[in-house]
Amino acid sequence: MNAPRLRHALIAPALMALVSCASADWPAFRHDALRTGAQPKASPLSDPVKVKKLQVVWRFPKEGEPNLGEGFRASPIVHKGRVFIGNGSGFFYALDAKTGEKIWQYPPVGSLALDSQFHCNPSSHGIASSATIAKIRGTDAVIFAAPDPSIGKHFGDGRLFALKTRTGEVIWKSPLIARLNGCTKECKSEFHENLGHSSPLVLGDKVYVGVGDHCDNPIQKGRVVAVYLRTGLIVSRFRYCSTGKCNDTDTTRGGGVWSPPAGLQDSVYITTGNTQSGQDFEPYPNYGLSLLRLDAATGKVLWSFQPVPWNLDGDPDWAAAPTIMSTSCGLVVISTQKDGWTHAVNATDGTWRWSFPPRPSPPFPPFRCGDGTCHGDLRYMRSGAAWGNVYVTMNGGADLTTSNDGTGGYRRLHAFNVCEPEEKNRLRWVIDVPETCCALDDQNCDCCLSSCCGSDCRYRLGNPTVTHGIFYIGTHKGHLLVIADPAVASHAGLRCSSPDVQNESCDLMGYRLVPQPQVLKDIALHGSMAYTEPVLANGKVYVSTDASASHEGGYVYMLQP
Amino acid sequence: MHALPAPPPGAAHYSDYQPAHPFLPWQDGVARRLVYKTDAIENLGGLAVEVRDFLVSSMQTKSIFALDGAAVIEVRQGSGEVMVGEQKLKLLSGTVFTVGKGEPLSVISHGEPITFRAWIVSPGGQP
Repeated sequence: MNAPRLRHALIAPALMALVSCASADWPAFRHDALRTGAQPKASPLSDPVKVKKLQVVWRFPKEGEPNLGEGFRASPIVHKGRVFIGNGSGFFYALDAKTGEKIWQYPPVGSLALDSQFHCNPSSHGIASSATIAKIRGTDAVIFAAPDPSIGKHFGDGRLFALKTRTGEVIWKSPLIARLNGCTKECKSEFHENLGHSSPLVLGDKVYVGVGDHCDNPIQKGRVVAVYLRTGLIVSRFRYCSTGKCNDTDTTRGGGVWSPPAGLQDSVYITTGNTQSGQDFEPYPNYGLSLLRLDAATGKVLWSFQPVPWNLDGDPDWAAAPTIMSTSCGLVVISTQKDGWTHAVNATDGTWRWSFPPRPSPPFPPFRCGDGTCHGDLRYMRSGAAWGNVYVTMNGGADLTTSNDGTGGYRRLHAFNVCEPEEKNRLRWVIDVPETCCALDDQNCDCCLSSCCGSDCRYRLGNPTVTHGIFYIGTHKGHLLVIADPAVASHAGLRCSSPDVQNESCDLMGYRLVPQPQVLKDIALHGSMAYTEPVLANGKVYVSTDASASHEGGYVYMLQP
Repeated sequence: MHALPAPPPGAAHYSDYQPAHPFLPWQDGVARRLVYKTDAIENLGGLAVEVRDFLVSSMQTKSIFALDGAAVIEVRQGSGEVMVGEQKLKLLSGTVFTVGKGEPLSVISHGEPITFRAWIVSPGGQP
């Protein structure tokens, strides 16, 4: 047995223990520390026949009750019969998973909301961080990141909160983690840090969270902060900064950690944002636009993978969470960068395995000036779902290189055979998800010219989740779709692997026909699901919707076949 | 989960997907689509500019064709080689080269389809 395979054999049991919690709950964003987005326990949700009977059981707030303002950009988690979620207005709720009745909220009614005064992108309103479950001194706790206007200069510095799941009582509040000491746009003498969507990672006796910024206005130094699970106090020995040195006299910026960290054993895996915005010289070191493995004890960078170098940085932040996959070809970390490219690397040493669309002419990585690729501020920001050797994600596909219109993939899910050695067989299936707005330049469709896209056409798909080959995804138009891998249910016909080639001429032009998976169920709900994930727990689906796009969302739903 | 089996030859049942802006068959082994076209530009001596994407099949050993105007061509995807008149060029993504009006282009793919974008300049009203 060679060294990587031996390592994988040793790690695999620990990994399975991380994913397969005893219950069929959903205790963290993307289900687990590996960020697989997968429910391993079989249920009616993994039955392609039963799932066709999926229907809404309850909604929070109930019909006739006013919604809660900003809506939900965080996803729910489910633990021991309760649903936990924070909303954009800055309140955190515990709901009864069976009925949707509110059990408690934090802070209590009439208290100051957990909100900042720097509102710009969707992650800067209230609580955008999905929560996670942990055991603290024998007590079940729910941990989440949020701005807290009661500390610092009262603009809403970010910190972690640990509450008792039973009562909502505070176990601890961490010290200030993300500094916000002013709201002057472009001001470099103020800190504009933000915890935003970065969902905390519980690994061993520590909790990790990423620090990004407010709309790059201006960009901040990306960091990961660790606190002790037992006390919430900051672990001073753990230090990670994406650029320069980890002190306030170092003026380098960039590499914001917008995404939730993933973790396995003694390592934390992160993705990072851009560094070039508003900065004339490349910082050293520069871990921006990278996928990294950190030592969980110290924050030391064990390896980094940076496909887009400084000179091509057109703001393709890496904002999707890394997914750690235990596959038949070893431990692989996969994620999709904001420019629409999906990259797979070996988890142990960070060596490159493959990219999709297929890499430009070698040598690669990194991308090179003049290689025909563009790396800009697109919107491929959603985490992928892992099922065995299959990884499903939003991806820019051939449009990224063929036409330089990177928006076609905003409504498209790609499934990849992670371990497939032949590049041409990497793509497993592809689907243009129904009930999403069409491409921005599609002259045959007037959808994008009307109000159907809501206020922002760029966000169309949420984060996919999966259970036993049945994939769940929400759209910006408020639809929850259930899609079956062709190994589980018959496909809906073949389509060309290139989205710009007609099916009939696909073979002739040298492309492959691949299956288009069957949509088993399409349910219309209220509000956008473009930021959230459908949670698959105990045979039920829990989804949260945003209110800002349609002005009629802002709910948590439970659905059951 | 292993890769899905390939569909049996000749038994293709197509999905309802239709590209919004497809490449359409043009010449043997070559498909194309129009991206943008100007009217005759007075300041350019009445010349018009047409931007077209071309797709060269990887299923043929060689594809030979000519454009109706002088053009600047950028390879977007794929690799191979091209003969432009007497000149042989290696094609990689990002390669840029020029071609005269009516000059034959002979493209050989290295196992994958090649796409390129051509900025074609021609007298107004043509091609």
